[in-house]
Amino acid sequence: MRRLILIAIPYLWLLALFLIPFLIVVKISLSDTALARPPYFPQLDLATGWQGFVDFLRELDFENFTFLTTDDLYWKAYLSSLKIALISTALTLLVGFPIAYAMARAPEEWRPTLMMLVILPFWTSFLIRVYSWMGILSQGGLLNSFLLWLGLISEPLTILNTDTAVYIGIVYTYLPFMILPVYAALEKLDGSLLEAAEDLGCSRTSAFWLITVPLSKQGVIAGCFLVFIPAMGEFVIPSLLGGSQTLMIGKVLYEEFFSNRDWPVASAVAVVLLLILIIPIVLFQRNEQKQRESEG
Amino acid sequence: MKTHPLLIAFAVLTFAFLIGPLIIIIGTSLSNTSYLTFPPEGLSLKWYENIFEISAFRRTMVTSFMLAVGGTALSMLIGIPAAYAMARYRYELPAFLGNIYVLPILIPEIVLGFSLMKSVAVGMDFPIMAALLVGHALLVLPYCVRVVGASLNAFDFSIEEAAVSLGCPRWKAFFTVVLPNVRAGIIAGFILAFITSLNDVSISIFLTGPGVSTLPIQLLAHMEQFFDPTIASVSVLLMFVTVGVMAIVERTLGLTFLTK
Repeated sequence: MRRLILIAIPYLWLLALFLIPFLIVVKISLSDTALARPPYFPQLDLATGWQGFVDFLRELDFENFTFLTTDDLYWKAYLSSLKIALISTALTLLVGFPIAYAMARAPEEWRPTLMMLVILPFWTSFLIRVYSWMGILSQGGLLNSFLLWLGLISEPLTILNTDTAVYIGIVYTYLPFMILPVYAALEKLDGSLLEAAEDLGCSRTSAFWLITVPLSKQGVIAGCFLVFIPAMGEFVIPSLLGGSQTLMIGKVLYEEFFSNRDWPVASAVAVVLLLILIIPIVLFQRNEQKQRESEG
Repeated sequence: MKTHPLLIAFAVLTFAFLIGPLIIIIGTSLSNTSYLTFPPEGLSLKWYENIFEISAFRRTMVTSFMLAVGGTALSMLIGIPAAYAMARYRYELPAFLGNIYVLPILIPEIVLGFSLMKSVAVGMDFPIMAALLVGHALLVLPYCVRVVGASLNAFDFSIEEAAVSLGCPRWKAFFTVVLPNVRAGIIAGFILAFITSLNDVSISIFLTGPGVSTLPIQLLAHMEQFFDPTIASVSVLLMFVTVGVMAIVERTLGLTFLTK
């Protein structure tokens, strides 16, 4: 009994603040836009009893979802978010894996300091880091001044307000999310396995591919999901670093809500975004479970 | 085994990439020009003075700190019993129960903020501060449950049983035996949650309203209007708070718990 209560309280909390809000969003996504406060129709009025509830249900329809498929802005934004999230995840892995590997091989006494360096930006406001990149990448910014000074370019490059800036921003922001799980996996790797492989005549390169990579697989998978899932819904980075042509669904949702005040369409956008992410979220959970089981 | 020099070079470059922007922020905050330049032309502390002259920063800083402490405390109040139940009965409970707590991290914050605003702020007519508190408590719940859970998993529950069989009431055993033993996990979870809450943009942007704002939202608004180094100096101030807190954690607990 005591056990039930202990577990039930947090679940009720999650239910109240997580499931119910989401159901309300689903409900709004099935409503129509109206010039009212709140700006959608119909409103559920519990005072009208069962008949009122039935009438309310009748008013709901999938119009907003149909609208999402007819206006190509939306599916282009979904596709473009998907592309940006996938490429950034790949880039983050390309940068993150070698670092995690180097950290796991570094002398024991350096590791806490290296870890601190990885976590430091992660614990500084994300907004501040994006702001710093705005200063670095702008026309008269640090990067351009540096390249001009080196004589590599003769006139400043336009990087800020392009997709390139968005990639840099996402890779920078989410790099620690990749490094930490990969490092955790690599640090546990038993070095004697690699020595045994070499004693048996395996070259260092093939030992890397045959032992290190498979044994760090779960860390890599966890890292990839931890980058991909939030990157998909990102809206601050594309708004601040991206240009007007940078399409990401988070930005569309934000504008739909704050500029157009079209709550039903914004809700439909959110529902579809979450549906797309359900598959990676479930896969991520499975991977975590496997990891825990293998650790016993 | 030796590490390849190319790998070391690559690692150094990446660390520069990670830390560089933070150093640039510090440099900018000390500049004496009203636009962002690096390296700064001259040094001055006037942007730091400016923080305290802009009353919106002062006000939102207080709000943000209160929110971070309140939200984390509320979240701990819910998270510790949950983590306790899941660690104590881990062989009897299905594993997916533990996974559900991670959802607030996995679901894009924009969706979370958006749906919270619809229900809590508009639907239930919560005052802004209460809505923010509830939103932040939800946002940081995964950190509380996971980090406290990790230390509870390492706790030997037979100690608690021993106390109970010697006549200690269950609630007293929880407070005097279990909690002191997982103190490190609670502190670590609290700090992680506190920093996450302090820096949150996505949830707060939907829940803040007329008269009540948080520091990051105020920074964002300031950034859209002015491009002066006040932002940089506020950032440095926040950075020092974080680094200070981290140094305390490193001293008392070590940072290895973060990868667990």
